Amino acid sequence: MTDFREILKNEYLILDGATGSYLQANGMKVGQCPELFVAENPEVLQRLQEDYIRVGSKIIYTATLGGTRPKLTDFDLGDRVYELNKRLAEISAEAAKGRALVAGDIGGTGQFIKPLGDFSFEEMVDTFKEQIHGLVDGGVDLLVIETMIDLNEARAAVLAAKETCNLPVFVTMTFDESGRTLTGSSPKAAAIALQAAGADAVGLNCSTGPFEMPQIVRDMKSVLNVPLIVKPNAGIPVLKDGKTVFNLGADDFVTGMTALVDLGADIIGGCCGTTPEFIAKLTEAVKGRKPEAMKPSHTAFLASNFETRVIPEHGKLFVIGERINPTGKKALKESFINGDISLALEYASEQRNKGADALDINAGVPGMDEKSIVEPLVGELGARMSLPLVFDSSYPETIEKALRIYPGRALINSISAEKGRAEVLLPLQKKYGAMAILLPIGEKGIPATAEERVEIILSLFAQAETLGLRKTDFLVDGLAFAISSSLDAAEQTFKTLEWCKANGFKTVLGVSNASFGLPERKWVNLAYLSAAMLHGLTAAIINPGEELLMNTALATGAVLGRDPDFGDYIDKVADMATSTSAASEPATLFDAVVGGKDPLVLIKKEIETREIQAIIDEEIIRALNHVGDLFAEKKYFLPQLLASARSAKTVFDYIEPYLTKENGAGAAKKKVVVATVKGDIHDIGKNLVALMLKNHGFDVIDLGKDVPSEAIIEAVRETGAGLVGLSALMTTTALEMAKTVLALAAETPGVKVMVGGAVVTPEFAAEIGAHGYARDAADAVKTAKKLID
Amino acid sequence: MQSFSYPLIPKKPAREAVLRRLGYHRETMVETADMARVDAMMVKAADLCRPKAKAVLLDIAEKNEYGVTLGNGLLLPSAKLARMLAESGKALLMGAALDMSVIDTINRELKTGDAVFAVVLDAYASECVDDALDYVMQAQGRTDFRLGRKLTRHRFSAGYGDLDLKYQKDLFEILEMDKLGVTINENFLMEPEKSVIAICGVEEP
Repeated sequence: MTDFREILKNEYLILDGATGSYLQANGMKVGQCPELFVAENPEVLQRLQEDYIRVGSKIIYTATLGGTRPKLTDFDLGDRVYELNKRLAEISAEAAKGRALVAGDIGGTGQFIKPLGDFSFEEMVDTFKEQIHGLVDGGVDLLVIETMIDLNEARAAVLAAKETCNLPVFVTMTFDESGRTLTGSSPKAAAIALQAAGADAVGLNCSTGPFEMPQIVRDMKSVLNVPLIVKPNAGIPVLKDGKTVFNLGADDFVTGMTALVDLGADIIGGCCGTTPEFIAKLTEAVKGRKPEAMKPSHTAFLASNFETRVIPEHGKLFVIGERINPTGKKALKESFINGDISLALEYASEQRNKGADALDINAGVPGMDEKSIVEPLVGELGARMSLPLVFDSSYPETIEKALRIYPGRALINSISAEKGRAEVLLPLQKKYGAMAILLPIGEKGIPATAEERVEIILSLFAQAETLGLRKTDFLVDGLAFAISSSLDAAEQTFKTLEWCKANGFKTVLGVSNASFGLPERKWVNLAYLSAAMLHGLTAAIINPGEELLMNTALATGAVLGRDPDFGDYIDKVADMATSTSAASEPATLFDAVVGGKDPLVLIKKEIETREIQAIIDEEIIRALNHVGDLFAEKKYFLPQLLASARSAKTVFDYIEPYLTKENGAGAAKKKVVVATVKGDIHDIGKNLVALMLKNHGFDVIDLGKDVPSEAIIEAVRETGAGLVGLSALMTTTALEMAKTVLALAAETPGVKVMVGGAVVTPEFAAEIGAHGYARDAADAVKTAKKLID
Repeated sequence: MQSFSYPLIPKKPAREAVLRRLGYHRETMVETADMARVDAMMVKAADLCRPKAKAVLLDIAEKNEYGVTLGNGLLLPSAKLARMLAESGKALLMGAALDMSVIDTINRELKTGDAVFAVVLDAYASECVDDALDYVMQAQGRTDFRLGRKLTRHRFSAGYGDLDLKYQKDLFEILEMDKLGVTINENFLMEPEKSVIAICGVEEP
């Protein structure tokens, strides 16, 4: 058979359909190892594969989806990985007889890579290599990594394949109803990362039926430079006569598939529930058509495990957060020396919240092996952080370690023309599909003029092109030098930026370098950033926490036409208004409490002109009652209820010194003892009740959790409380609640008791002799008022 | 008996599910600015919540209308559980938890900080541990057509239905929940509060 790319030039490449259900219908017992069954009964699979080839399949999959050591170990076959994979590849090759390509099928191991699981990245790579050796020696024409639920596991399989053989590698991920993989990757992020890792075709399989896939297909197609694979199930599984079946017949399946072909699917087939009939009709449906030729994308994408980021050519400034760098940060440096990544994780979150598009990771501490920090830090950020990462190190081995384990497409910071650096880093960039910052620094040191910088850029890029790298794979550092060091320092940098822009290179600057040596550096940084943007700067390495700098970048973008409808600028202004609540200042205290707003300005004004009792009755109490009603009617939800209670408390606290005897000064607040009963260690619900009672003017004595009845009785006696609130979460502790209610009735007659908690019902409350039941914290306030007000 | 470890579950709960836990309904009226603040709190909550889980796959040795005996000899007397596992040859025990620091933050914020954030974090954390069990079920292959087996759609926990809460202790020990930093007291309550244990079945028709 010819190469798959040759087939795609003339026709859609048809894959096979399901195998497992056929094997089960032809002798394989439920729960039996399919790999062993096929090895012992090759004719069963070969019959099916003959059928698939006869109806149009140009690629058939070996029966090795569970052929890795962890999967075969489930059947006590862990010591037969090589032998079984080799034999199963031979079986499919015998069926193909050169009429179809044989794809060595590789599935998930059932294990996760650290920190999501116990496998190291290299253990995962080695696990796949073991299987791949068998498949390759068995004569497969290509490898297909399929039904993957975790992007990094899929990447490990791709790297294993690329490091073992030269065969083409296909990868298909599985997406759930939310449109993401199990570990959270979006279709675009998965497509970019897999393509970057070296996959020759990328797509999705299993998951759902074709009618649920259009958006995923669109998303993946929009970022791919390699063919798109689509291999769905025969619809959605439904229960029919006690059996799980799929809801699409062959005709409906093909209707759905035709729509996906129109959206750009190049390599198509079927997964669970499909049969040779489905593949026959699919082949017929696309007969005479051929996929559109691949058009290489000129978009520069970075990706994390979850999301993608475009570095726009002429748009919003791309912000790379610079904070995770121990230089000049004592606490971060010490945390790294102690092997602690928590502070770096805090910096990461802060920078994301402040608007960074990517995060620079530099763990360079003199005398410390930075790989010991980079590995857990990149692992953790790779597993949890939505922003893509930038690997910033002087050591190529650190950069490779990070690139290898990172489940996304990262940016290397940086590749210069210093001796040996480009020769090592450019091949790494190519292997892991990363972007890189080209740093125009050569053997002779830092070039002073733009012309010298351009010369180095051209030389570096010529080297990169020989590896197949393109301009869109790079940002060029224009070299921001201290403007105080030379009168034309800024001019040379800006000339470099202009040359890059004119020649199709995107650019980046470490902006704060420009102000080095000058006082009040922030003003210089602002001016320098604006000027650099005027000269075409694409990205900046800055501290996103510097609001003035971030806002200047947005405003400059608007001025320079880089924000055509002013959307970025207006969104930011709207966010600022939201964070200060300027848009909805309350007119009255009633409005403030109902809206959960800060009432201080209003109460200061009101207290000058109104009677305190009127303020309490007509504004605050009325507002709290109104909020209670809104909450009961579900027009308010819990955050609003609490915000309102907080506003009311602010008012009560403010007016307290102004109270006279007539309007309540010196009057004892109603006392309530609250506790979670003995044996119960859960008290979030009780704490919420205590807070609401306090905010409504009660004096709350909170005894905490796991409180014996004796302690509750003692507290009532000591404080003279008229009400006790008891909480219990589970059935076991609800019994303790009953005992406590009984004890209180006997020892402190006249004291009221209200109860609540997950398993407590009004009936139970009545049965154990409680005076009241509270459904939730708001209800507890109502009940308390009813019982002792 | 096979054991599985999920030291970090990366998937984030759906925003809508967290809002529902906070009592959000179609009728709820929230100003855009207030909702933006709740959304920002959810982002902060996501940074604080680091769910983890363990699972154990066990044969079902015996089952009748009154209960189920697992392969390790543990008898779970529950007619409802037996009904749920009627088609199952194996049981998947799962436990998930968050760190105690999440509970400490909720309580600290309730007592002395931002109570609105406390309730958002509480709701987010509850959703996180429930979602963690969904994640385990999906990772285990909720439906493995290749092997002709699937997990039961529902799961069951001690303390609910007719399975006494005291069995939480046995399930806790099989799962070695202590290795997730969870403790259980004499009333079979787990700490941190955001810890859950459940059982589902592996059906092999």
